[in-house]
Amino acid sequence: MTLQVRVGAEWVNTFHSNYCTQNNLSYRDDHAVGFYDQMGSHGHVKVFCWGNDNAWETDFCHPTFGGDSLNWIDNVHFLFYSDHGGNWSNTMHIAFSAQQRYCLSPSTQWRLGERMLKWFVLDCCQCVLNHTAAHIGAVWFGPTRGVHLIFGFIGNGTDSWWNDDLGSDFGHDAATGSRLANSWVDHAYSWWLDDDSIAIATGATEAEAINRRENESVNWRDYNVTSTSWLAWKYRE
Amino acid sequence: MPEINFLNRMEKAPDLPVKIYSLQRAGVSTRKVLEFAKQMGLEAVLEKARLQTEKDRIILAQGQILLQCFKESGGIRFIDQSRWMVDDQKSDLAFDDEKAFEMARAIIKKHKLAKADEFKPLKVTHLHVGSMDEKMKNVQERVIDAGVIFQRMVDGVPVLGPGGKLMIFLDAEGGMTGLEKIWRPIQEVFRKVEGLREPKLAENQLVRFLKTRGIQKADVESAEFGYFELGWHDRQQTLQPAYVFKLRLPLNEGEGYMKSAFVVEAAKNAVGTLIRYKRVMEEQPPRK
Repeated sequence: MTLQVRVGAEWVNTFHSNYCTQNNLSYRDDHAVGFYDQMGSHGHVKVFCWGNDNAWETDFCHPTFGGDSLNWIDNVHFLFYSDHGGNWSNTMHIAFSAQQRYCLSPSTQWRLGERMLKWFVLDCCQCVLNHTAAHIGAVWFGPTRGVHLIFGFIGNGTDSWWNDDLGSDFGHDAATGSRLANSWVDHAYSWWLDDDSIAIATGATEAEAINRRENESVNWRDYNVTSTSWLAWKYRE
Repeated sequence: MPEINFLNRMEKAPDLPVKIYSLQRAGVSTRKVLEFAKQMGLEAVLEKARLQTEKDRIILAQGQILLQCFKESGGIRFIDQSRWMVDDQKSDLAFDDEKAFEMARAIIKKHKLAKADEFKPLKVTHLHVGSMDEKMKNVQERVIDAGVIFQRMVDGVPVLGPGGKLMIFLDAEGGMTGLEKIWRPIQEVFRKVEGLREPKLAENQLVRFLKTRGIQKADVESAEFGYFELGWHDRQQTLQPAYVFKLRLPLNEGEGYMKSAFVVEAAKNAVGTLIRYKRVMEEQPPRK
């Protein structure tokens, strides 16, 4: 048995030609909905799954910057985002097709975990650009305010029929109490598609961050991160 | 029209002795799972194992061992949860890739996981761990495992795709902590190949496919030829030659791009098609 967690998902496949223009994608719904449904089928609480123009930048942005994150991504424990992402100036950006205010949401306007969020999947490109400690720290110390683990890719990810089970596979493991970091790093890594996966844990101490990286499952829901003084990561390449 | 740039092209069809094979049904059952557990040396403790059947897999758990067999593909995921990808906070892998391949080959031979002439070494991946404090002064980084990947070969032709792979996980001491295998057994020659289509025709199909997907810009990084084997959750009845294209779909800002892949059958008398059209999801009503 695992502790029940609240789950949210957002994804974008289809962009517009006259605003928020990006290359269309095809399989982000398979990833996000696959994760969402797997979690739900194992008894976790499905709270929202917004796709295309229903995925909003304000859902990620903290109220300090005019957003509504505390009512959306930070009102669930586990959030799966699947779309375009880019990283420049040590800031993660994610793309949206609907322009509530902006077409991109930068990580400088995120306060992840301030209310409830524990686990955040960035199933998109460039969670980090490389694996140097300085870069990982520069991108992720700022936005992490209580979130336990960030999951993503080093460099670019893949939108393809051939890995469209990623969300579902990770969801199966997460829902059933597997170690989260290992599951993500294993499922998201692909030698064939040249995808390098990374999981980044937070903690008040080094021991705590490492412990989360090595052992955390959804059963750690209520074991809060009191401050993000340390990061501990693992990646395969 | 989408803007498609071919950065690398295959000029003509390769001259290789390819065939189209029928594949054995996966036929995953509890009996097969138990047989594989024995093959991996668990026979002495099987009476303590727990077996669980899910929609897409059968799971055997015994102590720290977790064995999952996927029903559609017959794929196997075998891990020692106490050691697989686990950091003991001191190990730092020291052996080189050549040694990693050698140790992994010995494991394949010992457990009869594949015949020596059915695969070639492909890549050694490494699992890295790191930690750092907020002031970015105390940084620790180590390598704690080697994931040794072998590529399946059929008639001397590589098997491409998410399948046709065998990955052995080694800890810093070279001990096996897990394995993953997607390797559908061949039943027989289903059909002789009556010639291969020219790559240009496959390129045209790629362009048409991207157009239907509304892709505006793509860079085609590579074109490869091989047999194509599907992943964990896919039923596959035939193994046939294919052209595989790797693509980049650029982001409008920054230097990022999403990668993608396109696969199309290569034989003039192919069985069905390898092109996968997107399953249609119901459109969400506008959010209020």
